[in-house]
Order: sequence, then C-alpha cells, then structure tokens
Amino acid sequence: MGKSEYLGELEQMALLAVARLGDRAYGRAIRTVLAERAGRRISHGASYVTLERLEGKGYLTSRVADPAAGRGGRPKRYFNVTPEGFRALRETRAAFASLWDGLEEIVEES
Amino acid sequence: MPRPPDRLRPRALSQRLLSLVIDDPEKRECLLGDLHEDRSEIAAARGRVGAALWFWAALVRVIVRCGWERIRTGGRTRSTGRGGRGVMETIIRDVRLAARHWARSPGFTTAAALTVALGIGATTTVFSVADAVLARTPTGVRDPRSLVGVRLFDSGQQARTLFSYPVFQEYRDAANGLEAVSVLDLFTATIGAGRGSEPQAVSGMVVSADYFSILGTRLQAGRFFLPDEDVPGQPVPVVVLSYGYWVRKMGADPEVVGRTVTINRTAFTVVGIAEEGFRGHLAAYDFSIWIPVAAAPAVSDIDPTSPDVHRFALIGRIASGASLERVQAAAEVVTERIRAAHPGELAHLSIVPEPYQKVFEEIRGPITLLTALFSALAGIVLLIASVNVGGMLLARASGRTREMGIRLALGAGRATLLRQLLTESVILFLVGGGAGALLAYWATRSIGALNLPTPVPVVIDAPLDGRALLFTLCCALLSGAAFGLAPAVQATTPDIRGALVGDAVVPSIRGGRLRSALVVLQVAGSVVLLAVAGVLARGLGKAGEVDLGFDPTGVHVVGFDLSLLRYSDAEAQVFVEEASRRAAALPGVEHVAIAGMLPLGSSSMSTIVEVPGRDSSSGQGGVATDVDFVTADFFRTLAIPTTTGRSFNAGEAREGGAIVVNETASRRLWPEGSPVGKSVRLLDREMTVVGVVPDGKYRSLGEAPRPMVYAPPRRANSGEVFLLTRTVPGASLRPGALRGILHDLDPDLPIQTDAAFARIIGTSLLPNRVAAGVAASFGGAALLLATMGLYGVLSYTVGRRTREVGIRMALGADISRLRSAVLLDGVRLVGVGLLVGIPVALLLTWSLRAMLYGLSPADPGTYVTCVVALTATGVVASILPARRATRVDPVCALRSE
Repeated sequence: MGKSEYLGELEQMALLAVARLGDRAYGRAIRTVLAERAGRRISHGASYVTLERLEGKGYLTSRVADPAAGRGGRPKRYFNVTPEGFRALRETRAAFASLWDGLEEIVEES
Repeated sequence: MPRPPDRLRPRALSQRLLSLVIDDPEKRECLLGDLHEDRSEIAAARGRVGAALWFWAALVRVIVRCGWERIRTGGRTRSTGRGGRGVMETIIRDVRLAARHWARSPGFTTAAALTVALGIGATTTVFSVADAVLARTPTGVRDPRSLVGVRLFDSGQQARTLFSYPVFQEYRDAANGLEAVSVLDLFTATIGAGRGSEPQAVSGMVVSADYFSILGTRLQAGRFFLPDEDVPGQPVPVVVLSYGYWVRKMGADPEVVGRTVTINRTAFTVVGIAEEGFRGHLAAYDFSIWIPVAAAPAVSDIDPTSPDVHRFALIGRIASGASLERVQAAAEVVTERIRAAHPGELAHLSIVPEPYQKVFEEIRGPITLLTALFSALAGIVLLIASVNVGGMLLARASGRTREMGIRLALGAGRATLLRQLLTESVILFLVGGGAGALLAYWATRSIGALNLPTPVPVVIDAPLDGRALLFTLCCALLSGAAFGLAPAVQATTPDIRGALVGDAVVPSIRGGRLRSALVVLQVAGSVVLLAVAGVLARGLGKAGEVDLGFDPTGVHVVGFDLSLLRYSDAEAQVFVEEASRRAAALPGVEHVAIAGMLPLGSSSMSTIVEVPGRDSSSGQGGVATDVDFVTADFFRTLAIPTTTGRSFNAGEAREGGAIVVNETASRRLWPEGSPVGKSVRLLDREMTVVGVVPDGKYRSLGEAPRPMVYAPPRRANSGEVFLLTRTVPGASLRPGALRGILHDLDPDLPIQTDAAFARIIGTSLLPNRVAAGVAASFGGAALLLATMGLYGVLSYTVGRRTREVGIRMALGADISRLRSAVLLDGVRLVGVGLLVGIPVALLLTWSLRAMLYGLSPADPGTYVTCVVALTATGVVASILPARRATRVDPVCALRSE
C-alpha cells in the first residue's frame, strides 16, 4: 500500500463510520450510520465488499464476537480502524483540502 | 466441510449459496447474522412471507455483488498491493485459455457448438417472428401507449358492432378527451399505375384526414390529406401510397406526387408517399393505399356516410394531459347523449375506448396460438440442447477432477478455477449462439419470403435485429452459465488428496445422479417434440383422406371482382357468360362453371332457409345454412353426384327458382323424407328443391357435416366470382389461358385468384403443414440430441465402472448378464424420461385438437411409435458401451489404479 493510494468515496465513508462507532462497529451498525449521517443506503453486499477490501488494505482489523441473540445465534464481526487507516483518512482529507484551497467562493457562487 | 443432515433447509441453503462467493465460514455466519437482524425487523413490519422474500432477494444481491468483486479482482479477496491483473486482462486471459482448451478437442467442440446452434437458432427464429407479429409496434406508429381503439357495443344484440359515419361525427365533435380520432375501413381495389401495366388488386384503407397524425406517421414525399379533402359529400379523389407500393410498382419515381393513378377506374391524384416501412397500423397486414372517407364512393358503390352503413372502426390518440380513464368517462357521457337523442335504433349503443394494444391483440389472436406453440417447441429444443451440452461438460468435468485437484493443490483459488470453467462453457455457448444467429438469419429470411394466402396480404417482417440478437446473446450466456455451473462446481469440489491418488475408485454419486437427471430431461423433451410432430403429421395425413364431397383434380380456378370496375349487373352477366363460353372452347376443357364461393376457399356466406307454412319458432321452420350461388354445370365441374333428383337445368340457372341442397340440409329441414319438389324461402324468394347432393367440406377440412344450399347466381357484380374449368383426364390447361380470356374481355380487370383448385385447398392446410414441418424438424433434432446424450452418459458411466466390471469378470460373472445390466441402465433412464414427458406431450397435443381432423390427440399409433423409437434409441446408445464394458481385460481393469 503505497503512499499514493487514496480512498474511494465509499471506502472513506465506511472508515469514518467505523471510527465513529468505536467498539460497536459491525456490519449492520455501519450501514445504519451511513444511511443516517450520509444519506447513503448501501446493500449488504456492497458494505461487505467494501469492509473486506479495507481490511485487505490493512486499514481495518476485525474480530468475531460470540453468537448473539436476535441474530439466529450468529456471531457479529466487529471492525476497528488501524493506524494505517487513520493515516489514509488524513491523507485523503489533506489531498481534498489542497484541491479545495481557494475554490470555496467560486464553488459557492456558481 | 461436514454436511449437516438438514442441508436443504433454508439456513443450510443460504450457507451453501454464500459459500460460492465467501470462503471464510465465520465471515459468512456474521454476514448472515446481519441479514437475520434486518429480516426480523422487516418481519415485524411486513409479515413473515414479506421478510422471507426480502431475505432471499438480499441474499441474491449479496452473491451477485461479491461474485462480481471476485471476478473483478481475479479471486483475490486481499489486495497484494502490487497492482494485480486488471479486469480486462483477466477476461482476455480466461478467454484465451478457454479457446485453447476447446481447440484441443475439435470433435467434441464442434458437436457441442452445433448442438447449441440448433437450440439457439430455433429459439431466436421463433423469437424474431413472435416479436415481429406480437410485440413490435408497426413501423411508422409512434407512442402507441396513448393510442386508443374506440369500440361500439350493442347491448341489445350483446355484440360488438361498427360505427356509422353520423355516430362517429357525434363522437368526434363531442368533448371526448382525444386529441383526434379517425375512422377506418378496409377495402380491396384495383389500381393501375399507367398504360400497359397489368392492373393490381391491392388492399387499402378509408381513413379520416387525421389518421396519419394520430399514428405519428411521417412522409417520404408529398403530404397527407387536408381537412378540405375530408368533407363527406365533396369528394376529392386523392390518395396516399405506401412506400412499398411506390418502390415496387412505380420504381420509386420521385415525380409521382401530383400524378394520377386509376383506382377502380376513377382517376386519383397522388398527394403523398408514407414513410418507409409503414403499412398501416395493423401489425403484419400489408396495406398499399389510403384514401379519405369523402373519396370512398369512388371505390365502392356504398355511400359511407349514410346512417345505415355501419362499417367503421375508430382509432384515436389521447390528448396530452388526459388519461384513458378520462377518455372512457367522456365516452360514457357521449353514449348517454346519443342514446337520448336517438331513442329508437341507437338506444342500446355503448361507446367504449380501449387501449390500442388490446385491440391489437384480438387481431393477432390466431397467430398467437401458433407462435406460442412454436415458442414452446423451440424452448424445448434449446433446453434439450443445453442439457445435452451440460451433460457433455459434466462428463468432461469428471474427467478433469484430477487436473483440478492438482491445480487446487498447487494453490489455485477455487474461484479462479470456477471462473475459468464458466468462461469455457460460456465461450462454447457464445460460439454456438453465433452459429445459431446465422441459422436464425436464414430462417427468418425464408419466413419473410413466404406468400401466405390471406384475404389481406400479410408480411411477416421479422428481421434479425438488435432485439433478436440480444435475445440470442442472453440465451447463450444464460444457458452457458446455467449448464456450465454444475459441472464447474463439481469439478472443483473434490478433495485434493483423493484426486491426486486417483479417485476412479469412488465415482461421484452426485455427479452420476445429475447426469442421469439430464438424460431423463432430454428423453422427456424428445418425447414431447416427437409426439407433437407425429400427431400433427398424422393429422395432416388424415386431412388427405378426408372425403371432400367433390373432386378438385383437373379443376382450375380464376377469381375476379367485377364490382371493382363498377360493372352493372347486366354488363357483369354478359361478361361472365362470354368468359364461360370462351373457357369452354379451350382445348381439353370438359365443364365450366361459375361460383360465388369456393368450397374451402377463403370466404363463405350463410343465410336462413325457411320452409313456408311451418312455425318458425318450432325450431324446424328455419335452418341456418351456408349458401353458394352456382351455375348449372357446377356439380359436373366438381364431380359432385346427385343422390336424389337432379341439378338445375340451364333455364332454372338463369331464372332462379330452383335449389339443390346437401344431405345435412335435407335432413334438418325435412327429417321425414325426400325434399325434392318441396319449396323453401331463401333470401326473400320462393324456391323449389330439385336435387340432393352428398355432404362435403365447405369451410375447413376439420368441420362436422354442415347444411349447404346451392342456388343459381343472382348478381354477377357483387364481390369476387370464380370461374372453374374441369379438363378431361390427361389434358391440362395451357398456363395463363383463363387469365388471357379475361384480359381479352377487359384489360383492366385484376385477377385475384388463378390456381389449380387442389393448390387452393392445399393452402388452407398451410398452417398445419408449417406446424408439422417445424415440429418434425425440432423432433428430429431432439431425437439426435437425445441419442448423443444417452450414448455419452452411458459410455461415460461404463468407463467409470471399468474396475467394478473387471472384478466381477475376474470373479466369473456372466458376460451377457453384465451386458444386459448396462443395457438395462440405459433403458431405465429412457423409461423415466418417457414417464415424465408423455403427460406433457398429451397436454400439448390435446391443445392442438383443432388441427388434427378427428385424429385423437392421444393417438396410440403416434405414442407407441415415440416410445418404441426412444427405447430403441436407448438400446442403440447402450450397446456400444455395453460391449466395451465386457471386453475389458480383468487384469488391465484391476491394474488401472
């Protein structure tokens, strides 16, 4: 994972959602945050694929908790953002900030 | 993975499905847990069924999404960070591998691709025709959703009726919610484009000036009708030609607008040429000319605007902003007003606007049935072909378990292998599909060239366009994926160790069962196709044996319509008599007759015959009967014997007053005895029965005996009349001789029929012939495919049992018993296939009763033949494998490990 690897839009959103949820970040909760905060309703498949990809890049770690009630006795998979993940978020934000620099007025007015 | 006993329960099923795209069981469980949570929530809101539906839909979406991700990343769920292969690269590599794989076994590849081509070619052809006839909006008709057909119902007669012009005017001028509405009437006319060209009978439409703008039709040249040209009572003879007519008959002359053409001897000015492809709004029918209502009296004797002439259908376009409901509500208001204004004859009328599509469907009704049958048959062929190739792939897959095992052992991802195997089968189906498209191209061209004997010319314009090709592509991809998946899954399933050691010891039971199921499906499909083909063909044969009641051999027919050229009754009489006299003088001609209708021709007429003095309410007073107007020599010309009495003599034929009835009419009207000498009322005239003739076939070969009455000709200038000649045995008519006589008498007269009578009757069997031909070719293909499939499966199974057979033989088993065991395996599969297929076949043949001429849909001959043929196929396909099995050298077999 080189320095030049920026985050895709959905990846960025998912990372932020995981960061926001802290210790409670599992699939369903992440989808709920994305829907409520960002207005992005994404499918189970899309969220699974995105989280999986982020884990593959080393931005997330996951652990499987014990089977829970209300889930047909199935476990939950909790995610945490790694330091790498936080760095990627910062870099992406910085890249956007530098692209935005001086453009606020133009974008606002047009 | 240990297999739980309840592996087909939903939970286990969802697990198994997910395992196709997610390898890690824990991750699967967690994802399913998420889905389960949502499901519980949805169950509270939508109920359990809704939640279950949601769950499965969501699961499918997960699988599609994750599957796509795997394809995209080439099966690498974790990024290596070192820029893996791109999607395109992966696809190209897979395709190349697949192509190389197929090129290695050209025999198998050709057989499989041809099989697919046959299935897809058949399906695409039927799809193109069905699409052209049933689904596609005719060229030049735009935005059909806001078109309405306005119908008129007569609640008094409980029937649909047609508009008279005044009622149309009232509806048109009322607030009807329509942008515009046009009348339509169909007519046949003769049109001459200039000197020296033979006049042609064409189909035309009488329309309002708005007709074209309602449909959204555009122009090739000139203009459509002006409002001034659409004022009844002030005829302006103007005509719009179809593009096809303009090209075919006028050589696409750009100067034609403004010139005159002669329609039924009246000069019409050509004002416009409609856009290319426009043939009217009635699907496959081919109309060549359009004239305004005001000009209609010039082509027929009827005054179309009289309140007593009910002959118009209506088509309109909903005004922008209005809806069909509003148009229907408005029509009710108009209905009320018309009823109130005309309490007498219009008191029961209802005006009902209906969606154009619905009107359309009724017109296409008869074609729909045939198309549905063909679709079903073609679908079965495609199924059999796919099943067959699926079986071949499965057999190969089993042979490749070792290869797959090694590749898995060397670290290849299962997804990668799956993807490659799927690519192989999809490539195979695409190549087959390409060949199928060529086949379909050829077939649709041939269908387009057919000249169907219908009253209005029909053009089945079924080009192999984007939609058909898309359909082919989908067929190929779907069947490739569907029938490639099972073998691919099977090939990549085995445990690696077993494969490396050589698993021929333990043949895969599951794969064996799947293969057997495929063979059963093939046999079932074949029996359906064969039975349908057989029953239709036997029905056709039966049609040939039907006693027509007359003898068409040696009879030639010409048909013409003097009313088109506005002959008076007397003129027409002279014309017909002179034509008959000249025809009788032709060498070889024995008898000549004139008839108003041809038995088994395209038209018929019926009326009520009453016996004077009888109470008509008793049910015996009047009998509905077919009627034909014929000259005295008609019976001799068609070799119809008189069973009682005689035919009319020449005087009666001229004066009228005498009739001949058939046996059924005689029995119904005079059950007590001979009718000769009795009098009847027919068409407001008193007539005497002079003779009885045997029953014949009048409308269709399949009909039950129906009453028929022959009366002398009344008027020769009302509609088409037929001149029939019988030549003496051995002699034949010079081609064009009758046509020549008619044209000597009137060069402007279009000849609408000119054919041997036997041929005319033959064309009435055309749908059956086509259906039987199609079913037979499909059935033949199916039989071939089933044989190949059976052979493939059995030889494969036997191959897998080499060791078992070897051991048995070493232990002293009887060779012939081993052989019959293998044979029995094959025959058992065929038996199960027959059990599955025969009920389906019975259902289909039963729905074809009308085309069977009294043959039982469960015709034992056909079914026994099918059973015997397929069983024989099974035996033949099993013999070779059986022989091979028992030729095994026990030592070799045992050493094969």
